[in-house]
Amino acid sequence: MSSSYPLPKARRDGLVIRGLADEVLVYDLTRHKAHSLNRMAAAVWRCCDGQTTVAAMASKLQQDLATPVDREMVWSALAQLGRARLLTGEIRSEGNEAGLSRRELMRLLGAAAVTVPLVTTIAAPARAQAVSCLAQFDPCDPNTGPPCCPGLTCTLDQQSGLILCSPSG
Amino acid sequence: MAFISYGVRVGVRVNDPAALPRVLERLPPGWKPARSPVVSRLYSLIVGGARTRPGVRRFNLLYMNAVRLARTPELDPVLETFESDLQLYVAAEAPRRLFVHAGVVGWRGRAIVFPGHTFTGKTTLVAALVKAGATYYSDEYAVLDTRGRVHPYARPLSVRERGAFEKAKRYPVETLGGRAGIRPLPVGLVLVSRYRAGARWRPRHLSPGAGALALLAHAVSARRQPAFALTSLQQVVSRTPVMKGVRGEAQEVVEAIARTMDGRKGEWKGERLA
Repeated sequence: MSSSYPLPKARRDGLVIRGLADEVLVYDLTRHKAHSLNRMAAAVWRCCDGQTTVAAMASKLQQDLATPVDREMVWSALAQLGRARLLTGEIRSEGNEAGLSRRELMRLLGAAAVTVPLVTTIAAPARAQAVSCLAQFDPCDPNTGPPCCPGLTCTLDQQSGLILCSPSG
Repeated sequence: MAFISYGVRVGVRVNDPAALPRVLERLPPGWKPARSPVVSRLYSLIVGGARTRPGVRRFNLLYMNAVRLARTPELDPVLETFESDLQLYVAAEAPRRLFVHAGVVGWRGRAIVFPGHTFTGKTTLVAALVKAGATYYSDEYAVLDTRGRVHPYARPLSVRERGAFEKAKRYPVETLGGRAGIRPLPVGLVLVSRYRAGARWRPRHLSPGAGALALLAHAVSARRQPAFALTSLQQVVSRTPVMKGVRGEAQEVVEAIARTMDGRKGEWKGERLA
């Protein structure tokens, strides 16, 4: 099938993928980011085989999900999947559909939130970010991140020039 | 001495045997002496002792392998650093377990998990639930396995009575009139909440995917073993509601949790408990 834009293809390398009832969890091993794809985003991602056009995807999804699926919805999903680096190559639409926000899409299509594609992303915490408090001489940030353990203060260490958890007083 | 904690082998040596009981108090809950002296990390505590002559300070030192972790005139901060570093090491390296920073209690055969950082009120909520009859599992980590069950990590509760910057005091759960759980439990409810004075508890349901991300954000070994983490969390969120909201006083939430858990009891009939 010919197309004026590169056909979207899902990335599979360097990912850990787990299915939930309607959603898909994806962990990107290279960027250490975790994504949750809702039902529509997951369905679009599954269709990204590098051979299917956006129009064909919309038509297939409409049948599979038994719900009206517009090309704008597919473009919105592709834009979010592209931003999450879950597609190979760059995604460019001919119009401005890919630039629509989720709220604009809901207003445009009169769609319910559950049928609008959504990709939620978090950065996986580094080990120190998941702790209660930081030990002595651990690097710290006085404004963000976990606090120093009791008896320690996040201050500039004169010897090393680093901001570290040091004994109070 | 060498010990095993959640499958992680650690060694500790001290220059003064009199300090050993205080070191043992700081080991993770459920530790067992190891027969083999082979360990993956060795802590060395050098107790400074009393001054021998004026003008000479004898510091207490803590080393992790060859790296100095602490050097202070008092012993307590050194022991706190030891406990904190050891706890994190075990949480990060434990094989076949996912440590999620969270409070956990058992309620009629199911676990209630509250993921969150320090100062989000986890211990307050855990203590209030224990006083209301819940079984204590942890105020620090939810220890999950691949079946999505929570294992106990029942260290004494770490309570700050007068605000965030006060040094926490440790209370064994028995002093609250509660008891600690000993067997793994399937998760019955996940609550993502933080404390705000005067707030009303009006939680909303998160989708399983959003719930998994909320738990993953507090998982210690998320980067080291992501496949294992996702498998464990998949098991939890597939069967368990995840609710999110800002909470006020603990008592209001305790009553709401009790209603939610009692309301779900019917759904669990016929399911095999661990």
